Amino acid sequence: MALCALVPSIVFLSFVVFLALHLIPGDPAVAYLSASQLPITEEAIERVTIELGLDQTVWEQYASWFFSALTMDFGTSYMTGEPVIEEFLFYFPATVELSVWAFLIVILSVIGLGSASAYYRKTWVDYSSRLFSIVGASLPSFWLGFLLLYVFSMTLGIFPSGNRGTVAHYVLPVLTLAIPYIAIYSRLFRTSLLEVEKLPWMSHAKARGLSEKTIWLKFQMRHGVLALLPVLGVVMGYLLAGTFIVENIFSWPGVGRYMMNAIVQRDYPVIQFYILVIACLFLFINLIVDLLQAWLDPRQRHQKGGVKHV
Amino acid sequence: MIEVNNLAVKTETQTLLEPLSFRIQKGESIGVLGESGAGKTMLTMALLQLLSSPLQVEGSVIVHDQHLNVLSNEQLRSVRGNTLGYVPQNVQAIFDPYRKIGVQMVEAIRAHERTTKREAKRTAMASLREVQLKDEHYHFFPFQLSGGMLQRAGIALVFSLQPELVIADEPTTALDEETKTLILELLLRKQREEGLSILFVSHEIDVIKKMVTRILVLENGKCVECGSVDQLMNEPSSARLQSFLHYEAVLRRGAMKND
Repeated sequence: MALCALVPSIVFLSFVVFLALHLIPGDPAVAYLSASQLPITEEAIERVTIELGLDQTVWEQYASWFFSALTMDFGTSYMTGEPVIEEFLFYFPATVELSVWAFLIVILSVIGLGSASAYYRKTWVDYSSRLFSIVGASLPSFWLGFLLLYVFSMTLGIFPSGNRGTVAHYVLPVLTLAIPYIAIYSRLFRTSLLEVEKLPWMSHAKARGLSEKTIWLKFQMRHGVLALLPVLGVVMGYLLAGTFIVENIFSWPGVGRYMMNAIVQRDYPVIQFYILVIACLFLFINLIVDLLQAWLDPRQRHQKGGVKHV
Repeated sequence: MIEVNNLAVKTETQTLLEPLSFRIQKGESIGVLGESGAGKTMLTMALLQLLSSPLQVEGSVIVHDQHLNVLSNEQLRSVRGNTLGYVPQNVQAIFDPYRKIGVQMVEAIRAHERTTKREAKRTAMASLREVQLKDEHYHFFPFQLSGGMLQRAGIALVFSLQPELVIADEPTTALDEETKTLILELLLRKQREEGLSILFVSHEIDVIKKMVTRILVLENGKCVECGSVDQLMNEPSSARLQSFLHYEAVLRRGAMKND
């Protein structure tokens, strides 16, 4: 059901992206020639315009793109002449790897740091986590990346500066990707934990003599983590899209760097496909989070079919 | 069983509850009468040591020769619920909405008594039956019960811990007549059969008269009067109680012309 509802959104999205790319000034035919490193002559431009179907209306172009997309043909890259989808799938695993590691680090750190600063609120733990959050959230990630690179790679020489390979190669890119999100969401988690504390059943749990540990784990943390869940879905999406900068800093062979080249060379089919995939991932992740949340919240789980006798 | 000496609640600048002393013996019941804002809930929270800064609690609360003010958190924990049961005004709010009623009952029972899950479950179900709920309600989530049923489930949770003193803060204010009668009868029966002590907070004079033998009258955080029900009803000395009784009489006659 929910999956079917995604289809119209994706179609609409693909059209918006297509249109947006057409609004970018510059002739795609020229872009094609320069990306393919061919001489740019009047004659060549004319030939390419017809070859790429650029003489047709936007609607016709979109329709022809759309129908080939249905057969999983998303065009060929101007730069390499290879099918876009194949190139994308070649680079994609590296990006997924990077974002998944960053995601795990974000979850663990947000829960750890957030609950520590809620539990020890107004102590040095809380204050230093706040300081970290302010600094971490205000640093732009390209700057943070270069800073880490400078300190840990060039000065101290602990971690390699780029490329994939050993575990050590992952440390800096993953940290660069994760730190801004840890900074923002650990504060958010702390706040939601403190919000839960004000709810009536919390003081009643204390009044009936439950231990602090029980109250903390079974009442406060549970509600805090549930409140965090929808946010985490968004974070996963941002991480996948956010590898863009990090991959360029650390020469990580993923789709972010591939995309950067495509933008510089104005490789339209590649750009179109990348935006579409990232957008679809966003939609898909949100769907998963919605389902997960509905499943974890008994109120939603029991909504359908009235009162259920378990 | 409980002895309260000069219990007071203050902030840095003002006194919210003036020093107050009373005792409740085993099987005895005492009522606290007062209108909204008189400090009734403040008193119940202070008894349970549930107030935290900026509120300061002074004086002592002694339960079975234990001074609650000086107990460690762990010792205090074992007194709450187990010795002192607390029935708040909106008793349905004592449940965490995400977990089943039975699970939360068993959790509370096992927090006080070393017992198996099975045994705790039996206690919980017996307690549910006592408030005329069914065994199957054990498996329900709080939102699956109606308001009245949930309130009864809340009472069942409090009683499943077998408290010696129940501190009931306007327990019947938001209830329908049927549930109200059920709960009042249950309290009286427990008192008669098991020697339960009751601290009954209310602003309803007729309910108080039915439930207790002695009354404290609170006004603006101050105890203006205390004594046995008979004595106070016949010769109220404070203006507050006089007006309380006056309005009650007026309401009972169903006419306002004497006002």
